[in-house]
Amino acid sequence: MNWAKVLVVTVVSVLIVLFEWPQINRGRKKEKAALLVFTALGWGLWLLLILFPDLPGPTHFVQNLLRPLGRMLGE
Amino acid sequence: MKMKGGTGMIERGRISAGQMALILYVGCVGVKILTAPHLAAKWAGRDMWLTPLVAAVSGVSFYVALKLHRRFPGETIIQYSPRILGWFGKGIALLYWIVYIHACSFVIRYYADLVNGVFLPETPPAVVMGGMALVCAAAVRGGLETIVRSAQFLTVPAFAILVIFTVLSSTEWDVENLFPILERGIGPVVRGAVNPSIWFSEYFLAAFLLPYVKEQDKAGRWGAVAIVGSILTLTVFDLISVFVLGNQSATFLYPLFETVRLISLAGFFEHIDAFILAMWLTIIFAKICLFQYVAVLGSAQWLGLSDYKPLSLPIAFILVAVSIWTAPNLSFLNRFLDGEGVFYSHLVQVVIPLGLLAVAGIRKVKGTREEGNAS
Amino acid sequence: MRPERLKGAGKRALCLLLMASLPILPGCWDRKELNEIALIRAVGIDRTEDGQIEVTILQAIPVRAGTGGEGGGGGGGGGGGSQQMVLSARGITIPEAKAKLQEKMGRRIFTGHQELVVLGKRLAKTGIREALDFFARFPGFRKDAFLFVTESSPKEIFETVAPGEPTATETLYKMVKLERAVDITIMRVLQEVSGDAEAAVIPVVMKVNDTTLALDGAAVFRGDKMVDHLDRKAAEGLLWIRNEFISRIINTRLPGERGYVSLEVTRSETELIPKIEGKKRRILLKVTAEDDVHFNGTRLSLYNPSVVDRIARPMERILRDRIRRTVKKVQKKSRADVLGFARAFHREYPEEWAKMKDHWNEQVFPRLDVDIQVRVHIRRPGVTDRPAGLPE
Repeated sequence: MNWAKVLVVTVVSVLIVLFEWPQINRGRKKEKAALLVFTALGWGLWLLLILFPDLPGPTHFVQNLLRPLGRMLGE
Repeated sequence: MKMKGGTGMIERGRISAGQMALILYVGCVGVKILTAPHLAAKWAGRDMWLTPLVAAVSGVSFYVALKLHRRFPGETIIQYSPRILGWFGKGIALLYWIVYIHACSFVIRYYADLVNGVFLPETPPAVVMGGMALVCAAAVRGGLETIVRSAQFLTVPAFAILVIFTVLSSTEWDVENLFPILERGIGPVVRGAVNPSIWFSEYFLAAFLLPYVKEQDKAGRWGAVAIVGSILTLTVFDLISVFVLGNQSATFLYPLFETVRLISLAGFFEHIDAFILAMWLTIIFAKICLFQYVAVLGSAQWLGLSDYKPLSLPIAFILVAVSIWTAPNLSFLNRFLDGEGVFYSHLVQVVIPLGLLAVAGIRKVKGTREEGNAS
Repeated sequence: MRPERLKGAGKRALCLLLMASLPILPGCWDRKELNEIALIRAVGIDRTEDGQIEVTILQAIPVRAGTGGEGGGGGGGGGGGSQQMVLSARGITIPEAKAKLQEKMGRRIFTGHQELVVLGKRLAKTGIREALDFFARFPGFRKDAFLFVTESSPKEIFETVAPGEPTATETLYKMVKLERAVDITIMRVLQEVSGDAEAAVIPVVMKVNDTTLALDGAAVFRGDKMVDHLDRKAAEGLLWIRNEFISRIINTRLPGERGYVSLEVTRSETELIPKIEGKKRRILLKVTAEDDVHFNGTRLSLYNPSVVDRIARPMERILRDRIRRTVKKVQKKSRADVLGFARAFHREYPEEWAKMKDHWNEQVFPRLDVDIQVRVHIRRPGVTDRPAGLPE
């Protein structure tokens, strides 16, 4: 099951790059790099989530950071 | 960071002040009208219709954004923050990018939880989210003008229909549910305003829109119109919830839906909840578009790219992942947005911008462009 | 940014992306075709003797539209034969019983069009909170479905189909719509049970014979448990007090006259005025009713306004007595404030309310002094003002 998910995510990533790549003007290296980096970032994040579905997210992080303040509001 | 005219203004579209007000208004009330009094009612009980008024104080974030923009005309916070604080400012700009991706994930999550929880229980959430993110990515590619125009085109009728339908619920109204007013004083109302204030603090998104507004002098006034409009809208939806659901306002996660589901006119005009969902979808579409646009524009500006459009799909891709990642369940999300979330949103959208403003004043940093050149 | 750049590979990739989204967008996972779902019109919930939950469903069997040329098969020809199926299953919880029901069916249970919920008496006596939680939580359950309690089992009620009606629910639904009972929806019960008084009423339905159902007063709940069964007369008074009034025929006799006068109460409004004087707590019920004369068996002519007044006075007495009886019954026997008094006190005296709310049903409510004021206005004498069939 996980492999199927990884495959779907990979296919979507490839499709995104295939779609965007030709639309970036020739010579725009930075843009192409950004496209690849962001897609890779997304792909990596998805991979992480597929492999570790219970990974604490950004909201957990912020919540733990601000917990002392949150306590002031009461339960 | 070198910022030549060409690369600085990667958004070519221009919007009117009224259009900016509309999209900010949708951004403020989009999620809230659906979940309206749920979290507020938990604290404020039958007085929760007063909470939008209290929460609107956070609308001050709009004026902070306006003030900053006056100092740095034609630039977004991603651009002027490094100007004020150098490399540290660059870090703050990155923070904004992350925060808005995070904030957008909340919105997508709310949307998906409703659709999954009530209408399509067997569809995988990733598909529900992905569908919306894809459509929004298409709108974001079209640029700011496309987003604003589609918001105009879609949400204005949607709001009209929502208002008509909620008025139709008047056969179920029990105005006496309102009394006694302020039984336990103003304290619970203020506590109940915590959650709505998060949505009001999102008026800071103006920091990304103001550079592209044609009539700069009208921006402040239109911002006020949007904030007042938000207060009125939320108050009306809250009131209807008190009238119809009474003490059950805090019970249901989607009070508007439960209200609409009770509508039955002449025995045949009923079961219109799915239609309401369709209307709400257009509203939430506009809201997600706005956040997604800010995330895409922000990333392009941060990297100094010449165009943000190629990033729309990759960022939508990331957004869906973050939306799944952001909270294990709806209770967690609601709990966060009724607690720590308020400090988070105000820290980022009110306190840090105020700090930037102060530092800019002390260090006498100003924008390079003269006001008016932007348009 | 430049539309003309959208060519070649980009276009092809876009096409692929769109095609990939095609199977996703119509919502394949949750596709529900009409011939794959079982339309549930009513749900019955009862507790069995061994404490399990029994869920009964009434499924409407759709009759093929068009002429009855299908023959006397499936749906039953002509006007006879019901178009329903009743099934039940047991489980420890409602969802479990529902899942067991689903196992017996080929079609998916769909509650989006369900109109009625019938609760068995044993469940009502042992507490309906669990049922209420299920109704509130389950998204596919309509909160405007009407609730009933029955002495017999929900299954028996569902199997009682009146001739000419396709299902048993149809009869009950129409009864409520004709306003012969309080229209108590799930939402109302949720509100009342967790409201100030923590008490609710649910109309009671009974089976008269194999084809007839009748309303039989109302069940009074204190908290989530049924504590009393008000008979039909008392339940009627309840409607008056709760301001849910609906038309009723009332017969009266006039002093010194033979024969009855029948009046239809067309409109009625009740005002609750609470008062706290020192330690004494009282409440004034102010009823204003408008009546039409439906029948005049006396020899009096309604042409004369003083006669109209003469009819109104005994009417007022009758109404007052009925209301008083109901109030007494609810106060002394049920000890559950289903009359809305708690709300009235809460609204008028928020501070005192805070002190008495914890023992409202136990101590305050049963000892409340209730004053009843009834004012009857006779608006129309019908289409004639003199007794018909009499010589001049």
